[in-house]
Amino acid sequence: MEHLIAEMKPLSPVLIVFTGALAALLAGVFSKKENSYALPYIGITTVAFAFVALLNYWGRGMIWLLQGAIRIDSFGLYISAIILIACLITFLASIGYAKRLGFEHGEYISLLLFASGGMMLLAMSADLVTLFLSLEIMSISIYALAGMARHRQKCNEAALKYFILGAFSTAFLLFGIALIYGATASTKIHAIAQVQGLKPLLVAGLGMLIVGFGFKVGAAPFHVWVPDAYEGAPATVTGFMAVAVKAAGFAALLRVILIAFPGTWAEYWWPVFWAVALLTMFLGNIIAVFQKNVKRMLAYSGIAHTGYILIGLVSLGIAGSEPYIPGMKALMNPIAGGMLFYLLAYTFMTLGAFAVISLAARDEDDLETLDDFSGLSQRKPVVALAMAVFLISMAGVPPFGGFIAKFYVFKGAIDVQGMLLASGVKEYHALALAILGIITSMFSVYYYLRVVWFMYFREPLEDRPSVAPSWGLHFVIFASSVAIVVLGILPSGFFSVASRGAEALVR
Amino acid sequence: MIENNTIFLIPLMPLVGFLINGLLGKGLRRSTIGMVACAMPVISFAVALSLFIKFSQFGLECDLTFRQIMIPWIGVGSIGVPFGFAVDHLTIAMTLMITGVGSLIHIYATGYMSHDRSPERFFAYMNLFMFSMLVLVLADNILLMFVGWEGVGLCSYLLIGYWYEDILNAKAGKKAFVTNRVGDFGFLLGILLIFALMTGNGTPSLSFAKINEVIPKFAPVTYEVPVIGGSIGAVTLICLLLFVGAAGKSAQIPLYVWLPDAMARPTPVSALIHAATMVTSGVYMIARLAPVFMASPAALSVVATIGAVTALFAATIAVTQNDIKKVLAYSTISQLGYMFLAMGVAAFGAGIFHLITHAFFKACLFLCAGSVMHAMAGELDMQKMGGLRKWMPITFWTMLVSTMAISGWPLFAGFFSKDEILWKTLEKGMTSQQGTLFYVLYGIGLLAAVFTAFYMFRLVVLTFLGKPRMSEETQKHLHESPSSMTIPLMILAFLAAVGGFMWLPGVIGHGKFAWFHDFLAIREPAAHGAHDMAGAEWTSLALSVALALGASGLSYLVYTRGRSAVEKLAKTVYLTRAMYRFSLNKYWVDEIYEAFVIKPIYYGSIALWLFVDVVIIDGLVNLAGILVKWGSTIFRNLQTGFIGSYAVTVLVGVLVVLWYLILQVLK
Repeated sequence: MEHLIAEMKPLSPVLIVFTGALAALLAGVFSKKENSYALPYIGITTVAFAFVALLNYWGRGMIWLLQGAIRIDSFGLYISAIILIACLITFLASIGYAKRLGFEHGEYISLLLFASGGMMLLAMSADLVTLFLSLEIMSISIYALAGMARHRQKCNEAALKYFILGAFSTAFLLFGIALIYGATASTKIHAIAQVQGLKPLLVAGLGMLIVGFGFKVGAAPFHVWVPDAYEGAPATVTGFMAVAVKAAGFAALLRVILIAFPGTWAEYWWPVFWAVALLTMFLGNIIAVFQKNVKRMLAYSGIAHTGYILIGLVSLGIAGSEPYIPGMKALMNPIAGGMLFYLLAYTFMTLGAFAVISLAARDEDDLETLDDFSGLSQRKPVVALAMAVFLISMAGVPPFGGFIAKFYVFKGAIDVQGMLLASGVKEYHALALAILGIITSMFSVYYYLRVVWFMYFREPLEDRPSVAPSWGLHFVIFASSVAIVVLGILPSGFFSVASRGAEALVR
Repeated sequence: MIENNTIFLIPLMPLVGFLINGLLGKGLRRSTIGMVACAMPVISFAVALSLFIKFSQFGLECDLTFRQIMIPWIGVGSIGVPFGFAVDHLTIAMTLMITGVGSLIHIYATGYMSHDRSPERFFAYMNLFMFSMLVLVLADNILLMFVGWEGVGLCSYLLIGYWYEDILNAKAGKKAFVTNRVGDFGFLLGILLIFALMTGNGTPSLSFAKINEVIPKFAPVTYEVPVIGGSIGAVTLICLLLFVGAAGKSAQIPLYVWLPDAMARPTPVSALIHAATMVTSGVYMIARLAPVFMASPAALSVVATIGAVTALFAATIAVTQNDIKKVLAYSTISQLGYMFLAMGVAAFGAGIFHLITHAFFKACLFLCAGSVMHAMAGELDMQKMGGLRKWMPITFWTMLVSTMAISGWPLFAGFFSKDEILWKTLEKGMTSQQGTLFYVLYGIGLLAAVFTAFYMFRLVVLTFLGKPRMSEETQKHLHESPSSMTIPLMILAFLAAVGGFMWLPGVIGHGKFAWFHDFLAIREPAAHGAHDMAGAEWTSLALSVALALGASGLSYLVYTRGRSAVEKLAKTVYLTRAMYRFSLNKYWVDEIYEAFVIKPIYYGSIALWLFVDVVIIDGLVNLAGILVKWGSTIFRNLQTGFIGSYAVTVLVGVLVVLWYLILQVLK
């Protein structure tokens, strides 16, 4: 027993989160309804403790736990930090909001914490079985969260759709794991690369995994659930889904693809991701153009961001499949670091934007149609300014974090292309993807700035009584916009942390 | 090179004045605003004087440079341009003139602008101008000079349009600004070419010392000229480009058209910017880069020719103008022509000498004109003046002294400086191979001097002598200007009278009374056997004196006694009538520019706007938008909301991925 406790110690961040989840659940059951305002603070405290525990293990190298089922390394810790930040922001933004929509219960806090714990575990999994289990802890919590606002019909619809399609895609993931086990007789992610298994079976398993993870991160054509679920779910939950689920999904995707299928294996998977990334960027950006609902527009924009991040994965694949080109290996860590930086910048701008949306326009609906945003600069100038910062950052305009993030990703692709050309390989896939990415991001400027235009150049509509937002919401909006500016002006420190995080995957 | 850490004070003080009046001026009292604005240039003058004393301690003929590097400014690649100042003899002469004359004009302006609505704005601009001008002059590298160059252009624009309620003033400001852009474009190209040659030579620096050392070595390098054929020397090209800039700033043919229009501004501005300082910066620039220009005789010939032709051309226009400030404006253009003639014959010292004396007498003339306007409630037409001597004795006498100076009466400042230029031209004609050109230029210069004396005395006679032609009402209000205006007038008139004794001609002083010549110490080609040509110099002197006095006397006679005869001549005889028309209408140059330059550009830009911008660019942008809109509509409709169709989409994706991967493995 003592041995077990000692071994579990490095897992303390996750365990603290689960403990907090149970505590919130119990507190919710045994406390009176009037005292429910205290519940978010349980969540906030839990996250704070977990964060401290997590920082404790940063920079200590990798730790294997539970017979190799879990590996605590810089990558897992980096993603876990993003998840905890997202969770904290969601708690803060929910103060007041949850009550207004009638879900200020212990379950809400508890489910958010369970989901976060599952995601952290997912980011640390070194075994496909652990990975699948933690993915399910996350998914089931999120299905329930999406349907949190029971009185809203749209919310129920969203939860149900998300659940059915989620189950559908999880089947593919599980099938993929089964095929890989069949081919290699192992579920250890780090062992798969060394096994000379049945190649067709292994590659079919790879394809199934791509589908399963692609669903979670919202990559086309597996993105179909995203618009309906994002639009229907309560704004705070949508923000959490958009950021944390995506971060966790990318964590699993990157770990499995880069560690289980490294080097020349990449020749199989990078063309698939190339096509997926292209389709994702195009569909996300083009469909977003004519959305009248800002939440739905942000859903499509989230899909587009997935596409940009996938450019990094394609660059890594192209670089990995040409291991004999000198200097190519040195490019890989900055590219992966750029992807992780992108996730961080995306966290702040997306959560900030959804926090603004959760400011009520009407009694209990979100601030979500373009008309709701009319003249926001006159009604709430500071909030409008912050929203403009988030949107312009998403469009990739300096001096905000979104610009730097896009810059790192596009630069990675162009560096790889330059290295290929320098060694005489005349293939232009990396360059083409970067150029198409830039073109599609030009489309995005239109729909982001349209919201800004509504906020600043339209008169406010009369029938929009506003509710005073809570301090937590104000703090979130303020802190996120500051973070976006800091990431845009002083990116190098954050980028070096992200690169450290990426060292666990590619050196 | 001697380090000196007080130089920065010279430009800094006016900047401080600009900030005080510009930021806080609204809340300050009128007297405080004037005090601040005048104190700053005076302090700068004092600092400049202390530097001058340092020079004299080292001995005036000792070639020194004081230098102060403030901060690194631009560092790109191998080149580093500091924010630095350098002061040598040429610079200190310019600086003393700018701060000295500038201070007097500021003091005068406190009286002149006493009824203006927003003096803080006026004085803020004036101080900003002083700052820019001093940066221009003190800069130790050509890039910093360009900053000052653009700064003075901006201030000129702001001050010309100072009374912006009148659309004509605003238009005049715009004209000055746009015309100067043409010149500045040439200047900038010249700087870039210098930069290219300097970096190509492995001496990446833009300081004047380095440029003057390195660029002349490129004299043998030539560039092929595309389209036309032939070739042009690298140094010649640089000099011509720089001269385009100088011609714009210093109002030479063909870029002089802005200066007469710019007379819309308050008169102290005319005196400061458009007579004494800014318009001379082109001359200063050439003198500063003298070794570069010396390396290209072809470019020097162009400079000399343009200068001489401008001198005569502007003088012939000035003869018939009735607007008192227009006469002075054309006179300024004409005198600047003389300075460029001096530059072109490599008599850099003589050119700067004329620049300084011109600053004295032309500033004085403008301020006198301002004094007259002040008394006449803004009247500018000389036909409506006359007999003002009775009411304004100080203004009359100071104006007369300045007029004698500019006309070249013996012993007045303008006589010595202008004659030095003419003599150097003649000397060049006698010594160089292409002598004919310089003989012709000498003739043009003499003729221009005749016109100068004639129109200046016409101005004085029409304004101050004869019978009063203004209304009774106006006569009642006539008065001499306040002492804040007359004292600067007297000081400037004194300088205009005696300023020439800084540099006596060789034949008179035998090289002894020419300390200013020695002081400037700009390397000039040694005069070959000056003593052999003493006779020629005496002849030239005598000729100038005779022509100046003769033309002055003729003018006096014509405008006191024979006005009706002249008017008859201008209206009846065919030849004289044509000449009169040409001169009065300024050779229709503005109309020609309007028809051949401005209108084509205007209609061309409308055509570009309607076709390239509206049809092509907007069309492409709208096309892209329409395509995205179609795409968006199509794809949006695929998102049906039915879960079954979603599942099918995912399934299709799965099948495609698997199909591709299996094919790859089996291959």
